[in-house]
Amino acid sequence: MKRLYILTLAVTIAAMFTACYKDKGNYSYTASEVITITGIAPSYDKISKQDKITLTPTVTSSSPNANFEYFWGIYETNVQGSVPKIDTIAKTLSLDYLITQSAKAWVLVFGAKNKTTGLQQLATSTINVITPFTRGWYVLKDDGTSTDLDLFLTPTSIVPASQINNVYSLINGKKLNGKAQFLSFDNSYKSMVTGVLGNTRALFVTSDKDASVIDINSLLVIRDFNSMFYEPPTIKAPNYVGPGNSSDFFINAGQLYSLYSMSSNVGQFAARQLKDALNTDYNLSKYFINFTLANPIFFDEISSSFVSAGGAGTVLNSVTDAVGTAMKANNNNKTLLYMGIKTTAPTGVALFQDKTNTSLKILSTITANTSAFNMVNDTLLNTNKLYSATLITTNLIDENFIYFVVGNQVWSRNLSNKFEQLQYTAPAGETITFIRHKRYTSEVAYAHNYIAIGTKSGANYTVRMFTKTSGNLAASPDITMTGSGSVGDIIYMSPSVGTNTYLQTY
Amino acid sequence: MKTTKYFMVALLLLTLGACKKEAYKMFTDVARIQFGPDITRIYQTSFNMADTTKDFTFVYNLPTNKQDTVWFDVYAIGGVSNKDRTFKLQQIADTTGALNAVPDVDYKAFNNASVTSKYVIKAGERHTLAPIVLLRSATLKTAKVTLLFKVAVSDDFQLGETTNIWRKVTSTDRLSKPTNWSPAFGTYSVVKHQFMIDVTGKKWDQAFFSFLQTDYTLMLYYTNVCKTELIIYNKANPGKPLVDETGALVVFP
Repeated sequence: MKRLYILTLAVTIAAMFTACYKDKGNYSYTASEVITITGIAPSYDKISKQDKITLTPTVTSSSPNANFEYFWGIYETNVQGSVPKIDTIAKTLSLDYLITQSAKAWVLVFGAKNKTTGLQQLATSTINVITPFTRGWYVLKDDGTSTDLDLFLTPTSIVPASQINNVYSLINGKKLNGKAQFLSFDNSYKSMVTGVLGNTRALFVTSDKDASVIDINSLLVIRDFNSMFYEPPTIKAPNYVGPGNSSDFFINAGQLYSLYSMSSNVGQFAARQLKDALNTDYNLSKYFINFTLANPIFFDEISSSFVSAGGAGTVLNSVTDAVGTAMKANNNNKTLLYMGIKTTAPTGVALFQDKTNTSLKILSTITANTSAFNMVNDTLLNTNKLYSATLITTNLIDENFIYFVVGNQVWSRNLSNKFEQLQYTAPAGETITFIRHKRYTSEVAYAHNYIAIGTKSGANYTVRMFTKTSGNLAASPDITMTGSGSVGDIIYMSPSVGTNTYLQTY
Repeated sequence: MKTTKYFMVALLLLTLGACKKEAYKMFTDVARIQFGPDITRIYQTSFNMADTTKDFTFVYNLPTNKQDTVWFDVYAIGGVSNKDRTFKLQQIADTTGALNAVPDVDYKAFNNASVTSKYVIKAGERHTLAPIVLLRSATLKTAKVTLLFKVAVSDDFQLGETTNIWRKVTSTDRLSKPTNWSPAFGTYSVVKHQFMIDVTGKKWDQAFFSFLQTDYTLMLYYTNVCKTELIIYNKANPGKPLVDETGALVVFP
């Protein structure tokens, strides 16, 4: 037994000797593994229940003897009120999947995991699930008594390849009453089009006697004029409908209605906002400065005053003059002939006519800060071309220009030096009925920057889209679109268009 | 040497017994009874104390209607049973100055045979709705009575959590402030409440306020309807604006 103890002790001591050894500094680290995935484009456009997405990405690893396992998943974007769940659709390298998702943007996720090392690499791509209606130029037009939409399809480039005339009535079986007026887009309009209340990519369509909001995926009417309100106004006279600061705003017969979108709602507008605690009469101009990051600016034609509004409010807000403003924002005794946004500062341009001295016209450059409302005035001479303008639009964000129509000519005015220049003369027999700056930067392949000029000849319209250089229009248009009726507005729609894509203006 | 041997064997045995799987903690308490939120909210802690107080008014009922029922969610704690289990309710005095409800005058007494049979957790179940039958007494025309009550020990149940063994219901035959009255409509008054009912045709009771909370824009709609109608009323009555029962001017913020 004693021998056994001695033996055990000897083994233990021997083990202790080998327990520690000198660190000889073997620091020859190998580089971290890098997994590379190629063969997946940043985005794909697919038609639901028709198109497949078929991909075989190339996966490589810097680690030798990599042994991969794969997965493909897809999840929804622009979800409110719930967390989107990823749906696993394959566990193979190659994907051959029929798109069945509803029309909107989805995210495709590919994962490759080296089972040997456990390292995983992900790659994503946007799947724009589309319908025949989700991409193209929409032209809002009327025949004098009713309004419809023409759709110019742009499958491969911004230049239309074909067109669907009267697509609104084709889908819905009826037109809007009245003359074409305005188009605007909201990608978070609440509706039940999918069977559950959720964000809907919706187009507001307005004429001067009617309005509706339609699902851009199907063009089906979600709500007509009456059902857009909890209590529809007795007079149908829309001036403007569009998204603003956390809200949608609706001017009807000069009265403002709002739909606050940052809280629970079902897509219906609240009651008419009051002017003040005495419910003083007001009549808002159709012109506005409105974008999604600040409360909108409107002009009350009765009091000749600018006002603002919050979507969650019930009473219009007055605005306060900036020190040194050239003209009062309140009770300035003016009629607003035109107003449009220029930048998101926000700044804008307005043309006024004095109520007492009607020959007095003033062009104002506006800094639309509700607590420091500033106007820089340019009193027009009656020899200025702008003095006789019948249509005006602003150059959005780019050059400090406005464009306007006199007779059958389009002129520009440089707001910095007041220089006026002829830009375009309509062909004989055509009357200019529409002018607007169309600026789109969301997709490289479809990006455009056009001054759109609409004319009417007989019962037909022509829209010509001109590029510009330093504010000056090209000699000939890039795009020409024709159809029946008279143009009221144009909007380019694509799966990439969101609520904030465009600065809305007349 | 023998001692060392025994020590080593004991150490080995101890080592073998050092780890063992911990037994599941089983509920060994007695069955208990308590109130709780709506059954769809039981896993939302923010609703743990919901529905502690309910307000009821007969003012919307037909004159011939002499009683109505308010329901409270009751839960059995400690698993289900294979037999029906009876629980008891007991009125307790509200000492905060409220007018306490009188049994079989303002409500059907909890030992009234017509209601005791309803206070049962069915076999295999953990939840039921307990009816509180309110009676349209003459008192309610001029006052609001308060029925404060709790679950009581019965043959089948001991009491549950202290915070959830009581509930309160107020009853009146006049307009009364709903528990969930929205600040969007300002300070409550009976006159204002009646005005809102008159100009909108809505009840403006607890259920209606709950409905409004699901749609903020609808709340804004009614705010502006009331505000506009009040301006119209005051303009139509120059020098005599709408005042409430305390003489204060009725206003909507």
